[in-house]
Amino acid sequence: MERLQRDALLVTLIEHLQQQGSWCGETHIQKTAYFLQDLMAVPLGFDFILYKHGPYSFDLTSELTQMRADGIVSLLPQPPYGASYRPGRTSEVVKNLYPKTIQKYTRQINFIAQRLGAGNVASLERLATALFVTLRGKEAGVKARAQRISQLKPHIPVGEALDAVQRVDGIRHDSQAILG
Amino acid sequence: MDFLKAYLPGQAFATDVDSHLRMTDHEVLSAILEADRNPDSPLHREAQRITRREHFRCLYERNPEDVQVNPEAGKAVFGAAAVEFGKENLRYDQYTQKGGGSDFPVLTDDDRICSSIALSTVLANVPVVAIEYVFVDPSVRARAEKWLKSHRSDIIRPVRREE
Repeated sequence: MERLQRDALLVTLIEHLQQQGSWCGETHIQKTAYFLQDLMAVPLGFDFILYKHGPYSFDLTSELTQMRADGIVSLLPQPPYGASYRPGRTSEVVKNLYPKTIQKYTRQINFIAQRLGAGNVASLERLATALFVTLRGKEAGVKARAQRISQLKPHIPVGEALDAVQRVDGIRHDSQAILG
Repeated sequence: MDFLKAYLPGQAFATDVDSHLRMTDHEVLSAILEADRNPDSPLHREAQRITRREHFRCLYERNPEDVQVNPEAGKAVFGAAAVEFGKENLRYDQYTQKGGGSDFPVLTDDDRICSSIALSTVLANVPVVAIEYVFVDPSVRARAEKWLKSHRSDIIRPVRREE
């Protein structure tokens, strides 16, 4: 996927997240982009690792910086918290370059925005970590995955990890209707 | 850069300590002068660029107005110029700041934690470092500048990549 093609999808994701009332900070974009790529098979091409607060891509951070430089997104300070991402002055130019790509992946983006858009940073961390462990871990059962999450991220209690795994299983199940 | 790439084995400095330390300025400068004096040297042209100040000159640099029209305006100029004047006469260079910028938590005097960009309008408005250049061989520079001046708006106009 070309860089601007990927940027067109990221801007579309940001717009959909906003519509769902998301704060749309970098963490929200990181976690939802991870779901888009690894669950919904949208080929964004980012390399995600399990970092301190769940799946994280340094490439995506750099991409967002590049998008800021190009005016595709802008940062809006939201005192007293951090900043939110918003579509920038050249976002429409980029989207107009790739109408087919946007159309192809709009259902996937909309699904993820609807399921995760209202989540705060802490819940998104748990859900994204649950998906990471589910897709890449060796543990298959719900309890085993929850224990693995709590082991990897000791600040997540097993009870919350269990809830996250169950929610992720639900999202995975529902995603089949879109993925076919 | 072109000279070093052509001169160094594997196009890069050795990474083992002994070989790396043996390659000093003296070796490189000596190689440049030798290649400059020998028209049959495969490095002759690259050496001349340095010894005779025939280095590539700036044809185009990133312009915020152009970026608003096409975020990849520099690449578009490079691509079109390469077709017009030959790729061997053009060089493209770009760099964009890595990392997430200047948003970090700040502990205030009253023991609250705030975002740095919420506290500082200066940090909130620090622009992202982004540079982009297209360089041209001096032998075609005048023609290239004239050509770019008359075709710039057509070249940077974004072409819809999907219908």
